[in-house]
Amino acid sequence: MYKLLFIWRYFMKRRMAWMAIVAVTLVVMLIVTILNIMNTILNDTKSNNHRWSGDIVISRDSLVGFPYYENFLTKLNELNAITATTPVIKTYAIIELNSLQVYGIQMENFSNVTDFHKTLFHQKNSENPTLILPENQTLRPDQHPLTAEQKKRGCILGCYWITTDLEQLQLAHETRLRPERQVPIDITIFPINSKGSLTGSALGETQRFWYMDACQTGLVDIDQATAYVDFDELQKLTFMDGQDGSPARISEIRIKCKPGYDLTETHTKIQKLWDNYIATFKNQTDYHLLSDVKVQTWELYRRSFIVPVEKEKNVMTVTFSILSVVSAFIILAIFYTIVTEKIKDLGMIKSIGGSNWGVQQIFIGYGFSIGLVGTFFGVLFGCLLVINSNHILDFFGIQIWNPKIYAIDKVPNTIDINQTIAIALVAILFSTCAAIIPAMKAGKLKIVEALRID
Amino acid sequence: MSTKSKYILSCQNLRKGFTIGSERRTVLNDCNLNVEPGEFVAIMGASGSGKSTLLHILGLLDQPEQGTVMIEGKNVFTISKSQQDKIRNQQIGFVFQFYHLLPELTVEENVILPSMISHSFFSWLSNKSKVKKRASELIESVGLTKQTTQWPNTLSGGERQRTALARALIQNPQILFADEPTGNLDSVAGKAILEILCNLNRSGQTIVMVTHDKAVADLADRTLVLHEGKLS
Ligand SMILES: Nc1ncnc2c1ncn2[C@@H]1O[C@H](COP(=O)(O)OP(=O)(O)OP(=O)(O)O)[C@@H](O)[C@H]1O
Ligand SMILES: [Mg+2]
Repeated sequence: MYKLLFIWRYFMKRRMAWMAIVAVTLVVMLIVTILNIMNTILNDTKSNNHRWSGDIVISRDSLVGFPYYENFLTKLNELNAITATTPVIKTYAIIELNSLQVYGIQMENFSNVTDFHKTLFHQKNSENPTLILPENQTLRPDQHPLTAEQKKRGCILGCYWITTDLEQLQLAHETRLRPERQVPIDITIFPINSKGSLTGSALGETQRFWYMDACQTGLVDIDQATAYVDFDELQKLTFMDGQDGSPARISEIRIKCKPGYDLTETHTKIQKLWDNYIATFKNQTDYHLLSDVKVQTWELYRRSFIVPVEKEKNVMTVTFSILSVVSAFIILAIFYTIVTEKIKDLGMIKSIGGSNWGVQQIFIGYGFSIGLVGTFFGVLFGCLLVINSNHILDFFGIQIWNPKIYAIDKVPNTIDINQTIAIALVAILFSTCAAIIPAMKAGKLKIVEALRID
Repeated sequence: MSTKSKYILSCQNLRKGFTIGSERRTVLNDCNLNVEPGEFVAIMGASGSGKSTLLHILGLLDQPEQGTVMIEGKNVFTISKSQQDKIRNQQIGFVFQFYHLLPELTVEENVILPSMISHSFFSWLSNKSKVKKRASELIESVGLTKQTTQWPNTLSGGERQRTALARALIQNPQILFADEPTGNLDSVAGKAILEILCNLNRSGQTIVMVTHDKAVADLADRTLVLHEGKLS
């Protein structure tokens, strides 16, 4: 009982204890803030990349693409582990004199694999998102006469290609950029045949599309330089549909696994399936188009965009770990001082019958309670800071994240509970240990020696 | 270990020295003392003769290099640490020259502290009111009722010493040690302390007091002088 009384009194009456609390609070707050923010950045980056890639991607790093995909798609769809697959054509194009990537997608399949429709502005909540313009469009009178085919071609643009200001974009969508306003987008493509040389008119094929929608996948490299058009349209335009007599080609197959299926296992299975499949084409002249096709998990497929963020997180973690160690020594020094300051009390308590261990418990409890209170406030302020970071920064008019560099335009504000609890436990444990060392030393002191201290 | 003895406190062949640098000084050398229950013993001696050192050993605050100390026939340096703690807590009261109150506790809390130490958490809760009553009687007997809730640093020297005295008495110790209890006080404050000590002795309290004031020593039943490490 007397131990609790002492802990309480030391706590309330010593200014030094408050300083120790403030020190603990600041360190814990710092670590909670930084680690939570970095963690969320990494998690967001990963989940955005994962979502946009699907689980597994079969692709070839060449504008030529690879042939014989139809039968393989059928084989894939027979697998138990897979819920959806979609072929993708990927090429480069020029729009309004800017170069960008163009993806040919089958809207429904692509959405099934990548949740693409959820990243759209107009069709976010639509039951069946589409790249085909509605039939009953009335075109502006000044347009050339168009065939029914030509009237349907829709195009989705990455949102940062239009503007980096998302509020502006929202506004634009409410006024200017509506599908029925028929904003024309002329896309110029350079078709390449299966041997890798320019084909068609060899001057580029230009085709008019109509602005349908914008997407925000959360991946800046994608959102700032990508257009999406219909798969069949692009396949035709790139001469990958076999109009020159060679087999039809695509650039990628994206695959979504059923929830609960082990990714690595499924990946190995698909790799094996692919190897067996292409073995049957071994004697074909275009076998080389198949042999360097890669079967990758989403992480591998997008690693060049994930690794920098991972590295950054690690650098931050190391930096702040060092900082924490430095602070830990300062806290240790403060604890040492506040315990040493009270060694005379230890002599007095022992002189009236307090046991060594009882007295040490007071000091350890003292350290523990300082750690507990300091950590509590540190976690509290840290979490408040993280949660309100955007308001705080807005208030001061600061923008820390350049959305072109980070895959995010807002400071993340979610708290990783497990990590925060771990930080708190370490802080409390450390504070307690910081008190144990001087307490042990104090315990060794003889009563008369302790009493002699002034 | 315990042998029946008519002495409440006795020490035999006590020896204690200090090494300062390379020089060795023997402070107590073959020091003997026997105190009967209810006795009031005064110890005198020149400054630096080892009076405090002796009292600390008798009060289990320090250890001798040689010799035995018996309290109620029990050799206190051969028993366990926790039993020593218990003797310090229950059988001995100690009053220091420099009070040694705990600055973070009020007068009342300082007085009841030994009792709190002897109780576990739950037994304290059930005994609290009894102890508090006893404490307030003691505080009244040393004339500090008005200062009950004051912090030690707001008390005068005399008031601090009376608080220390009350603290030493709360557990009804068999022996009360006092190391120059009036050494830091003016004559009026000192007189108040001595009066309390005399009253206690009259009601049967065994007291061993160190002083260098002849007039103070005269209040005791017996006066011993510490000289060259020996009592005579
Ligand atoms: N821890 C110690 N280390 C070294 N020497 C010590 C120590 N404690 C006491 N002494 C020495 O032992 C001698 C006796 O000290 P003690 O305090 O017992 O004297 P005293 O008789 O109480 O004197 P006073 O009347 O001035 O209080 C002194 O010379 C002192 O210097
Ligand atoms: Mg002395």
